[in-house]
Amino acid sequence: MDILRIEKLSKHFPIRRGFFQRAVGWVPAVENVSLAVADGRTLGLVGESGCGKTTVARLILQLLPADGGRILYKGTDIGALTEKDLRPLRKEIQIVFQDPYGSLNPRMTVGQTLAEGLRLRGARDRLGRRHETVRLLELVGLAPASADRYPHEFSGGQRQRIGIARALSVEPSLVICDEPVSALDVSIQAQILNLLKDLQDRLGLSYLFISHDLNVVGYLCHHVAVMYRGRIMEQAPAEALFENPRHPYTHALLAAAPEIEAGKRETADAFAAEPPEAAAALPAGCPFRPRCPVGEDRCRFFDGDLTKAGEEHYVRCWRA
Amino acid sequence: MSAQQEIVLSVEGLKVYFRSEDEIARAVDGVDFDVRRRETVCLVGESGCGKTVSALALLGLIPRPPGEIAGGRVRFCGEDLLGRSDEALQTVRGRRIGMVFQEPLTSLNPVFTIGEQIAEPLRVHASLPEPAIRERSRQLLQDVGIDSPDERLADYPHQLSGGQRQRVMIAMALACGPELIIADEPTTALDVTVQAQILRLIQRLQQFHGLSVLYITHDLRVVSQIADRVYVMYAGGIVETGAAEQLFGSPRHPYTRALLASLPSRRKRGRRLYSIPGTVPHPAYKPEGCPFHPRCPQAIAACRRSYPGMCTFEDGHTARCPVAAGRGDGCDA
Repeated sequence: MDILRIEKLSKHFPIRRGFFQRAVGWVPAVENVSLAVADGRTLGLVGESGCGKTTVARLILQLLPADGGRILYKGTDIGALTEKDLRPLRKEIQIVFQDPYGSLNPRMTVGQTLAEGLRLRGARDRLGRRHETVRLLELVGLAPASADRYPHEFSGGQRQRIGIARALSVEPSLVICDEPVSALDVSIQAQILNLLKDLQDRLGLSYLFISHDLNVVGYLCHHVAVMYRGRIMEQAPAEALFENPRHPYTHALLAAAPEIEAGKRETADAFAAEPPEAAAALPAGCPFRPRCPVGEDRCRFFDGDLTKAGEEHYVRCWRA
Repeated sequence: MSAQQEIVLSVEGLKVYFRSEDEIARAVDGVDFDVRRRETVCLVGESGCGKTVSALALLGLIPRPPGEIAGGRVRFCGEDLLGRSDEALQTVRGRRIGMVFQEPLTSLNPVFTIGEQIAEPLRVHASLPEPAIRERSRQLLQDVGIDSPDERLADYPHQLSGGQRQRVMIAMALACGPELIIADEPTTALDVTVQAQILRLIQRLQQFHGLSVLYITHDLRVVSQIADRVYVMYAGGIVETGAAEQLFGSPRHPYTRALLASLPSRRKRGRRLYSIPGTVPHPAYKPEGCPFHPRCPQAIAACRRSYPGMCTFEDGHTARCPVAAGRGDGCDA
C-alpha cells in the first residue's frame, strides 16, 4: 500500500526581471514528477542543489500550490481540498528540516514548542500535555528535564532530536526529512539515522527522505528516486539502484561519493561541467545532455518518459 | 613517502589556549605533525577537535587575546614561524603558504571584482607591473579550470557558482607560487559532484606545481580520496597517524575505528550504525587521562589515570592507545 502517491506533479517558477518584475521566463522546478512512498517505508529523493527536491516537499506539504498533477495522500487528492478539509490532514504529514536551530523558535522552551503540537492534537489539560511531552522527549532520546530549556542550550544533534520530537508531536504517518543529517558531525549523524530507523520500526512511520548524500540514502532508504533539473531520471528499489544503476547521471553521482576502501583512491573524472543554475535555460532533449559523459547526438531529440528497466526500476534514458 | 623526503612544515608540541575570566580552553593541546614535499596530509576530526585552530595558529591568525600560543614549535622550510612578527609572517602567508577556506562567498569581498581580488596578492607580494598582473590573473583562472577567464575577471563574487568561487579561491592561493597550500574544509559547502571536481583540481595542481597540501576536513570519505598521510584529531590532540592505506586498512585507535563504524553506507543497510556514546568534552573540562576514555568501549583503569603515549604499530603508523597496542608500558614509541 502506498501512503503517498504523486502523479505528474509540476511546478514552474517565474523568472522575474526589471523594475516591474515582469516574468521573462519560467523555470520548471518540478516537471511531471510521479513518486510513491510505500506505507512504513522510506523513499529517498536524491539530487544536487537546485534540482527541485525541496520544491517537491513544499508541494506535498501544500505550502505551495502545484501547477499540475495530483498529490494523493491515502487515496485523497489533497491539492483539491479546501483549507478546512485539509487541516486534519496537515497533522498527518510533518517535516524535519536540515537546520534544526533555524527552525526552532528561540524564545520558546522545548516544552512549549512540543505543547503546540500536542494542543493541535487535542490534548487539552496541562497535566496530560506535560506527560505527553516527557514521553516524546524520551522517544527521541532526550532527558525529560529538556522540556524547560531553550533551543540554544542544546547541541546540533540534540536540536535535531527536538525537531523530530516536534514533528512527532501531532502523530503523523508520513514524515518528510529534508537533509536532516547534512549539518551534523559523523558521530552525531549516526545517532540521528539510528533514531529515524528506530522510530520507523516502533511507530510504523513512512519517510520521504530528501538528501544529496548517496551514502546516507543507500543506508536508510528502501526505494530511491534520482532527480535532475526538476525531473526524475531514475527510480528503483535501493538495491537495484546501487548495484545496477542505469542512468549516466546516477553513475556520476555514485562515482562522486565513493565508499571508503583502503589503498584505493577514486580519480575517475565523472563530470566536466558543474551543475547548471536552476534558472538556466534547459537544453533541447535530455536535460542532462550537456554534462553527460556518454551523450550522443540523438540525445538532443530525446523526449521520452521513464521506461521500465527492471523490476520496479525506471530510467529516463534511451540507453536503458 | 620515505623519511628522506624533505619536510616542508613541521609542527611540534603546539598548544593553543583560549583564556576567559574563569576558564582556560585548551583547544590545541600538544599537537605534532609534519608535511613533506609533494605530499597531501589530512587533519581529520569532528567539530571542535582543534584542527582549524592548529592551522590558524601556524599562520599566526589566532586572535590574541583571548587566544595564546602556549607552547610548541612550527617550522616552515626550516624557519621558525611562531617567533615571527606579524610583518615577517606576511611574507610567508599568502606568498609561500596559500590558504583556501570553507566559505568562498564570505572569504571573497563582495564589492570587488574577481580580477581586483586575484590581482591583490600579485601586487602585494610579487610587485608585478599592471599588464603582467592582468595576464597572470587570466592564466591563473585558466589553470583552475574557469572558462572564459576574461569575462570572469570582471564579475563580482555573487555572479559565480559555489564551485567557481572555490576555484577562484584556489587561484588566489596559487597566485604567488606557494610551496604549501592549507585548505580548510574547501568542499564542505558544495554538492558532491562539485566536491569531486574541486578535489581533482587540487590533486592536479599539486602534481603540476609540486605542491604540498595540508587538508583539513571532518569528512573521512574525502580523506580516503586524497590523502597520502592522515592525522586523526580528538579533543585537541592527535590520536592516530599513518599512511592512508594503513589508517583505513587497519585503524588502531578506538576513536578512528568508531568514526569509521559510524559512517553510513549502503553496505550497512539494515544494520544499526555504531554510535559513539556521550559527547565531545568541552576544551576547558577535558577528563583526566585519555580524553576519549569516557566514550571508549575498550577503556581500562589505566586510561583514566594517565595521558596515553603514542604507540607504534607499523612504520609510520602510530596511535595514542597502549590498550590497542596491547602494551603495559604506556608506550611512546
